[in-house]
Amino acid sequence: MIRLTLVLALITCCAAFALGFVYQSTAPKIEEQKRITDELARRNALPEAACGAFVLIDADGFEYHEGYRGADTTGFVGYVVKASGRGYSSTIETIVGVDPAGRITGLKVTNQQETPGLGTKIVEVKSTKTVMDAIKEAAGKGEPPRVSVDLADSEGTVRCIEVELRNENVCGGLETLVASRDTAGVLGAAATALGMSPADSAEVFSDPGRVFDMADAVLVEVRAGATPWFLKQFVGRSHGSLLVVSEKTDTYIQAITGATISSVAVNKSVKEALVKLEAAVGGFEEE
Amino acid sequence: MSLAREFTKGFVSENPVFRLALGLCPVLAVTTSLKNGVGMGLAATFVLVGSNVIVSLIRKGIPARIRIPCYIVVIASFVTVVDLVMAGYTPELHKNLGIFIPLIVVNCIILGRAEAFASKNGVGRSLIDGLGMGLGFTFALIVIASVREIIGTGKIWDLVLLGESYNPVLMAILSPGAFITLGLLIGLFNLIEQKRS
Repeated sequence: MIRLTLVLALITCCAAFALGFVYQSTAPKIEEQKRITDELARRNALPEAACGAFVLIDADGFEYHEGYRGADTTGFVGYVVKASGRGYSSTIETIVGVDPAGRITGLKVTNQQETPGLGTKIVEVKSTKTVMDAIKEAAGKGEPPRVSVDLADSEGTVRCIEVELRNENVCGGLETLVASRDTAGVLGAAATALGMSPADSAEVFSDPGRVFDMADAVLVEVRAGATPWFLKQFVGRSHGSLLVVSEKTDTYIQAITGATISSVAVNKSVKEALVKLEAAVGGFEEE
Repeated sequence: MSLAREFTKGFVSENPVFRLALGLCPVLAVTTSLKNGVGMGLAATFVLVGSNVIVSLIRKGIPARIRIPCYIVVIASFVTVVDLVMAGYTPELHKNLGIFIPLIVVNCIILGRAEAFASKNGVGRSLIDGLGMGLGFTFALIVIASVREIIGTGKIWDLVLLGESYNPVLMAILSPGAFITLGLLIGLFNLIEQKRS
């Protein structure tokens, strides 16, 4: 018995040592990715500050961000706070945007490992398309919109990129480029969307800043349209009206069928975060 | 069996997906695009090769009664390495594959090869076996993902393949498409194997 224990202990110690080394090596990169994810989530949760600035506030250990419309911290539009709660199989982390009156402007789940097909529905966009719709589409009915590129028409070009960005679903990649303020990268994405080489696109887009602004605007719009149905229920509510029920309702938040624990965890963590935020900012503005 | 035969068996005659029907859960779930398929395939190959080599190295020192827990520790360690590296360097892929990366730990192919092959053979043969089986798994994922992505979107790896006039059959990248594609390809590979033999 002692030999069995020793062998198993030795193997686990070797594994722990190796994993410790890998963890140390990858930790800075993972931290950087997490920073970018949080940055994007803040812009998503508080759309009015999507192109503006966020200032970190530490109120006796409770951290939140103040969001501004302008990059120079002008035009206060609300707060962003982190919420986290224990779901069914993981800790669900959420970033919540709140306007000055305490109403939720948006949510983004930044971390979860819930059960696929059940708890993961907290981040899934509800599809209204049925199998029959797909078959009809395949048969030629309900043809998807096609893009005609006219490089001579600058407005048309911008519109083409918008359509392409949505169709290509490159929002994830574009979000990263925008968050890192990578103008060349955004130009490259635009070039890809139009099937051009980056050199050609630089000639067409003589004002890269305009493409950048457009990319920001597209992101805000796409994010709004792609909000998961469960999270969308939170938007416009204050913490006093956050209550999860299992029935279909417009008054409260409807739980995901088969994932009540995950649903309640998100609701409870958001509510707690907002209560703490209200205390930290000395109360929300009167409506 | 020669080393070359050991390597190539995973591609057709003992392909883990098309012939042995192992590891089908990630196969069905992540083959919505070629990028995901390649990512999952390479991750599983790394774990297969690494765990086969380590299990083969320590096989004589492990008492039979605790061999399975030991194999699981080895496999889980390699999966954690893949998970950390992917999270740091390929965040998009890591996000797309999600829970299916940690689930490599319970992939039947990995534990199956450790128990059936690496625990009974030398390091060299185990490495070749892991590499062959891993690449065979990757090959299967590539074939299934390519079929689904081309039919479902008209594209492959972001390249437009079927032109503007093609109407994508969205069902191909939804769950029914995964089952239909896998079933047809298993039938095709059975037919090829019957012809060969």
